[in-house]
Order: sequence, then structure tokens, then C-alpha cells
Amino acid sequence: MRILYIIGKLITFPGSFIRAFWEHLTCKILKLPVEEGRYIGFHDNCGHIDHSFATKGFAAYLMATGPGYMNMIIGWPLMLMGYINLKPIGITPYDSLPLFIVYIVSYYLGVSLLCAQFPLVEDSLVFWEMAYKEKKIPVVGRIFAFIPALVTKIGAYLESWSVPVIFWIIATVLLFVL
Amino acid sequence: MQKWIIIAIAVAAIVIAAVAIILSTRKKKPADSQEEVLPEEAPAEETSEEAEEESVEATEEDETSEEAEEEEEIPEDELCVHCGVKRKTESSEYCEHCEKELRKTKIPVAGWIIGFAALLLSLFATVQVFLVSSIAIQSANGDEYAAKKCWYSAYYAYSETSSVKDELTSILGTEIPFVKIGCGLKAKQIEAIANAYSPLEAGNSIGSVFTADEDGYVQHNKKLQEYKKTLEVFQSSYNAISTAGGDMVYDGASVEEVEKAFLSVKGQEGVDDVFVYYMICNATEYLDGDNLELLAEKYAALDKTAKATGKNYNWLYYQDYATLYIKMNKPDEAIALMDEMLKNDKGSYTVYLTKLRACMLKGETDKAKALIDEFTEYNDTVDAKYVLDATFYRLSGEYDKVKEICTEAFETYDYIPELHRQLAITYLLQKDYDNAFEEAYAAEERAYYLYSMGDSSGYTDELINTVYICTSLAKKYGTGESENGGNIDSLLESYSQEEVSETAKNIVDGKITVEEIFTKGVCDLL
Repeated sequence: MRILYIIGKLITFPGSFIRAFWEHLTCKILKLPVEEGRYIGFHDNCGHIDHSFATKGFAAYLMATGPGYMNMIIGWPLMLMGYINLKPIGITPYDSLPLFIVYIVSYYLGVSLLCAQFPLVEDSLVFWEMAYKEKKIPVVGRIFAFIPALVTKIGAYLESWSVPVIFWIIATVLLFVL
Repeated sequence: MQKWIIIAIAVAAIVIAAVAIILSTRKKKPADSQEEVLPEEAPAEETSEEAEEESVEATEEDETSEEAEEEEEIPEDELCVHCGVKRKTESSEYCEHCEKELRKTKIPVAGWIIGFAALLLSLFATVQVFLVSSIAIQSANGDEYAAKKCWYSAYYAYSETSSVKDELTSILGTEIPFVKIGCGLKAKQIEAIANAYSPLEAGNSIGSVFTADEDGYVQHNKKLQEYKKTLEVFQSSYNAISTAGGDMVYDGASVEEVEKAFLSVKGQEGVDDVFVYYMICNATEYLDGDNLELLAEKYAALDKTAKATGKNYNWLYYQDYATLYIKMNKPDEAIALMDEMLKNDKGSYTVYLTKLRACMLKGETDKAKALIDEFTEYNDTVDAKYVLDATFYRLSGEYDKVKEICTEAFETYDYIPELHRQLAITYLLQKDYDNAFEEAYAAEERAYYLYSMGDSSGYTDELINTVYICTSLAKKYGTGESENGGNIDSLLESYSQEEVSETAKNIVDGKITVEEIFTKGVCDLL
């Protein structure tokens, strides 16, 4: 699993790096101690940072979902810019080589960001347990945060097996080649 | 396109591999950021003794009470996970000192730069996607139609992208390099033309759709080259035939003589035998169009030659062949040919119209009506549905329904000559010559308008002959007091006897009745 996870993270290293940056920034904002500042590498935290867990509900929610939201907000437009221009609009190297490269890079960047949307499993579990097991969060908060927390929890498990990377590789083949 | 994608993926893979190698070599060194943030602390790889020494140094500066605490033995599970020397606080895994220091861990400069660069890029991407989204939606619509094999609708959607792009440019006031239509989309447009019309039309359109700068793509694209080659072969076949006996057709030669001359070019370089046989059929129709058996013989030879090649030539002659079968009162054969064409193009209005006529000839009214529903299922083109409806009800003899449909259609689609023609025939059959003329005149006007816009599809033989019949009969039997009644003479003068069919002349001369032509057999001037 570790090898698969690290390979996935290295294939999509721009997204992993940027996700780690948002995670680090969130820790700074929430004043959480950060032990390891290395974003990418052959370690279990590749694409994440080694930080201590948040002790308050909102902080834990923000740590679990905030960086993912940021990657999603940035990733979708980039991916769409690449896809729309390459596929429906049909830009080819014969139209403009620089533009073609820009769109390919944009698609790759976008996909890499979308492949790094979820936190480490432990981070997602911190909020889940705090909210739905220990019930430290008010009912309204628990209701509103349920779907994002559930998606984050499932996504974190899937990401630990590099499922999003595999999904996007297949999706790219289907979108462009077939 | 696919080749470039593969190259791009290969380059990306090399970059990823290089980064991975660099990162793996960096792994042995302590993290830069940690060195920056915790200069007094030990790197991660330092031994526990070294860490202990340093932590002892740190404690010298602390208060004396802490010194006392340091001396007591702390259980392992209560030790700070970072320094491993001091007791962790109640709410954290770290001692107070480490927690304070670790909160200061700096974000690497590269992180700030890359993070905000991504944010800016994303902002740019959002604007770009917003700008080109309307073009992309049109293209996606085209793809959807193409997937359903509704090629005319697909072609229409693809060609609309140019208008959308032009509109966008005019709104923005300038040409933006990020807003352009790619060769890939243009190639799809050409493919739609090939399927909706013919590969010859597609080959002909390449020059107008692609610019000279995009010639590299045209050279590279196999399908486009195929269309161009088909057009070239057709042109060279036509030239060879013209040289061998083109003038004979107009010089009073017999069908046999013309055929012999045309067949002499068979097998020549750049000549396609199928096109030779097709031109023999055309010449036969011109010289002896009423001899349906002879024409059928020529089409059978063409069909045999085309099928022997193993290539698809349906687009070339199936429509004419089916019309011939309808004229010969062989609707089943016509339906079989049209079904074959519908396999490739579900949206062809002319194919549905021919099949509808064949069904009506067979007396299968329900099947004919179902065809219109089938056409509607595959097409959003409401105007064509009106024409099919009007034709169906006229052939069924429900003239009031024809008037109702045409009146409704004219509210939106007044520009369609065929709708006015169907209504003109309806009035003609009801012996309302003034209104028949008015509608025929309107049909002529609409056809001329389309022609002036570069679309000559309105000027069919059926339209020319219908207008001639309606105008001539209005002159004979009408009051001449209708809105455009004063134009009857000038309109008739504009007709040359060559362009009017024998059938039309016979109707005007009273040798055949209008009913014989429009209510029996083919029910039209085919």
C-alpha cells in the first residue's frame, strides 16, 4: 500500500505539493505544531505534513477538509481548461504548439490537484471521532458537516490506495483516446 | 493528436522520474525547513544522546523549578514526542518548549510561490473556461448528435462554433489567442459534412474550413486526406469523361454512344469506375429519363460495380436509385435502400422523405406517420418535421391539415421554399389557382433569397416545375387579382423551355391532369 500510495503521490507531485502547502498554511492559521516541513518524498506523509491533531471541532474539520477544498477549487478550472481546449475545441500542435503544451500542462496540473483532495486517514478520523463518536460538536454542526466528513473519510481511505490517481488515469484514457 | 498526447505523457513521465530521483537522494539529508526553524534543535537523524545533550543545554536557561522536574524520572509515555526528554503537556503530544517552537515551523518559500502561482493560474483558467464554454457546449452538442449518427444536426452544431467565436471576439473587441477553434473541431465538422452530405462535399469544404496555416494538420489527418483524394478522383474521372464524350450528351448522341464513350476511360489512371457508371446513369437520365427500365439497367450496373469495390458508395447514388424505384412503383426496393442509408445517417431529411413517399406508395399510411415520429426522435430540426408533415398530409389527401401545418410553420419558418411549394400544390389540387400562384411565388422568392445567401438547395427541379405549373394555370384560370398577380407574366417570361420538364408542360397544355401527377404514383414531379 505504501509503495502504491507514494507512487501515486509522485506521479501527481504538483498536486501533492500544493496540498501539503495548504495543509501547512492551515496549521499556521490554527496554530498547530508542525513537525515535518518536507512536502514530497519517499515517506508515509508524502503530500502531507506531519502535524499534531487539532483538539477543537472546527479546527479538526478545517484540517480534514480545508486543504482539499482549496485543491478542488484550483484543480477543477485547470483540469477543465486543459480538457475543454484539447477535446471539444480540438486545439492541436498545428494550431499553436505553446498553447497545446499549456493546455496539456493545465490538464495534468488540474488532475494532479484533484488527485490530492483528501487528508491522511488519521486526519479524517480525528474529526469523525470528535464529531460522531465523542459528540464534542453541536448537533447543527454535526448535521452540516456529515456529508463532507463522510466524503473526506471515504476519500482518505481511497487515496491511501491511490484510487483517485488510477481513476484519473482511466478517465483520461476514456476522455481523450476513446 | 494521439501521437502528441503520447509524447506529452512521455515527457511528463521523464519529469516525474527525475523529480522522484532528486527527492529520493534528498531524503538522506535533514529537511531545510527544519534547519531554518529549529536551529538550536537536533536534526531528525541525530542520536538520542545528542538530543539529550542539547535539551540539557536548553534547560539551563529555564527556571529552576523546571530544572527540578527535569531531574525526576518521567515515564516514557509522558515524554514529549519531539524532544523525548521533557514531559508533554496535558493537551498535547509535545512539551511546552517544543510546541512553541514547532508552531513556528516556516512554510518553504517554494511552497508560497507554487501555492499562489497555482491560485493565479486557476483564476486565469476560470476566466478562460468561462470564455470558451459556449464554443465547447456547441461542440459537445455536435458530439452528441454525431454519436447518435444525426450528422446534419452535428454539422450544424459544429459550424455554429465559428459564429459563437466571432460573436465572442466582437464582444471582447479583440482577437484573443486563448479563444480559438482548433483543428480537431474543424476536422469533426468536415466529418459531419461527409456523412450528412457526401465525401465530395467534405473534400470541397476542407479549403474553406481550414486556413493555409493549418495545412500541416490537413496533411497529417488521414480522414481529411481520404476526402480530398475522393474529390480529386471524382474530378479527374469527370475530366476524363468530359474529354472522352462530355459534349456528346448535348449533341444528340444516343445513350449507347455516350455509354461507349464514357466506358472508354475505365481503368485509366486516376479514374474511378464507380464514378464512370454514375455519370452514365446521369447521362441516361438526361437523354432518356422517361425510359425507366433502361435507367434501372444502368443503375444496376453502377450498383454492381460499387459493391465489387467493397467501399461504401451509398452516398453517391442510393437516393437517386430509390427515387427511380419509386417511379417504377417498386417501393420495397426503395425502402431497402433508404434503410441502408439510415444505418449511417439517422438524421437525413431527404432519406426520410423518400422513404415516406415509398411507404405512401405502398399504402402504408401508419408506417409513413411513424417515420415522421422517428425522424423527430433523432432530430431537433423542427422545420424539416413541418415539411415531412405537410408532405404526408398532402399525400394522404388531408388538405385542410396541410394548410393548418403550413400556417403554423410560417410563424417561425416562413423562409422554407418547400413548405410554400407543398401549400401551392394543395391549392392547385383544390383548383384555387390564385392562392396556388401566391404560394408558388412565395416559394420562388424564398428559394431566390437562399440562393442570394449562397445556398442553392432551394432551387430543385420540383420547385421550378411547380412554380411554372402554378403560374401558367393561374394565368389561364385565375382572376389575376391576387397580391402578386401582376407578376405572372414576368415570372413566366423568366422560364426557358429547357428548364421545364415535359410533365409540367403537359399539365399546362391540359394533356395530363394535376390530379394524375399529384395524387397518383409518386404524387410529385420527381
